[in-house]
Amino acid sequence: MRIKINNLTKKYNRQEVFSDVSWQPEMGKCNLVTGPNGSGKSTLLRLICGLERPTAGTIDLTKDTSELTAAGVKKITGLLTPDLALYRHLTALENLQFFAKLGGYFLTTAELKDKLAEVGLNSSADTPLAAFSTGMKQRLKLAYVILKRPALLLLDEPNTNLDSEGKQVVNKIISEYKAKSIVILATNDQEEVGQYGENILFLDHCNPGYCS
Amino acid sequence: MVKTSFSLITAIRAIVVKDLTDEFRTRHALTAMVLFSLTTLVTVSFTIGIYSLDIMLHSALIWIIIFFSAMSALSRSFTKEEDSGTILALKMSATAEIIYLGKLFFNTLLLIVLIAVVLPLYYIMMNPPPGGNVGLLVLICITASLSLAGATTLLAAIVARAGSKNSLLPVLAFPVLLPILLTAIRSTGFALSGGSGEEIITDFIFLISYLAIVVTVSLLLIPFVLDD
Repeated sequence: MRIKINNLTKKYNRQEVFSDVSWQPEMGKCNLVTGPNGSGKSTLLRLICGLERPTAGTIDLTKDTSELTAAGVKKITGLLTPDLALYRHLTALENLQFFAKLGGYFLTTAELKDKLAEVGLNSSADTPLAAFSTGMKQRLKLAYVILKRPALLLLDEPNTNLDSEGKQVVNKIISEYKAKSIVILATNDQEEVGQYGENILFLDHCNPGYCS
Repeated sequence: MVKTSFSLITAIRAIVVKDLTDEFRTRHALTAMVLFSLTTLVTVSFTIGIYSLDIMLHSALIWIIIFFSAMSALSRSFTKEEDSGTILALKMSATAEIIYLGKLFFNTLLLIVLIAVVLPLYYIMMNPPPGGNVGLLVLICITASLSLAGATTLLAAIVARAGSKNSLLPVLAFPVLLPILLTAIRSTGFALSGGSGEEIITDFIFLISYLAIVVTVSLLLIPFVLDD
């Protein structure tokens, strides 16, 4: 799996989000996108997973030497963003069962309960999401994201609303997945930048695409 | 190939079952649809129930009630996904075509439930002339509801991306659904007057052809509609 971002520009009508961004996220490292609010961190993640199209530039995604199509990218990508929501009238287990069937991952109920246990929700498997706290919803979103064992893991502000135990779950997921997948994390929290950042892209309206 | 087809059917069925479970627990769409049809039926029944109406007028009334009741519910298929933010998880887990087909089958089921409520109530409240061909009437209703759902599902996806949401659907859908409604009204009139299937075979062919066209066009367009 390889990603190469070449001279990427994104505009909404005439409003430029960022321009001429080039970067190469690497496997085995925690790749981190940072920058102030509105610098385009979330937009970059949406562009990488094919939810949006760039105004200019390209994102080359290759797996086993063959280039991936937009559908192929979605199939192997786990995307966690603050915009993501799951079904509030279904239970935690029903939500995972639904997305497992939809994605064609034939997981048993026991395996799905294991996923819930991984994020510390084993005792809330049969509770509807409507009764979940914001932090519990964030944990379930993490379970949803790792459901497909993604080869590309995109985490946008993953620690939002999580307690210390929840943050440990995020740490565990990042360290487990960066060994076998490409992990890209977007955050503007300087503590997280210091904690996770191994290959950093700094997005700024004044100084776009600065990499360190 | 077999595994791909199996996955496709499993994914479509998962969307239908999820929407049915959600609907069973919230009853938003069903309540809106049934209450709308009931209110309209009661109003029509009090206003013109004492007069003896022409068969074609009965047929037109049935489909007007079904059309407007359906619009209140079918628009929700995509707007509730957009409003609650679940569309993102859906788009990341399935192709646009699978999402469309799942919603199409769920909308068809909703329409069949609506027709199952409206037709008996219409018979009780409006007392149309006896001697109708009930079997043919049911067949027409199922075929027409499939065509209605086929065209409305894509429009519901378009409307969900717009600002005015639900109120826009009847306006957008009317010109697209007019050929289906006119054909359904004519063939329902035949069925109510006790006609046989042979007399309206062309109407059946038209409804099925229209369904094939709208589903094909929808499958081609839905990736662009759901794409940001």
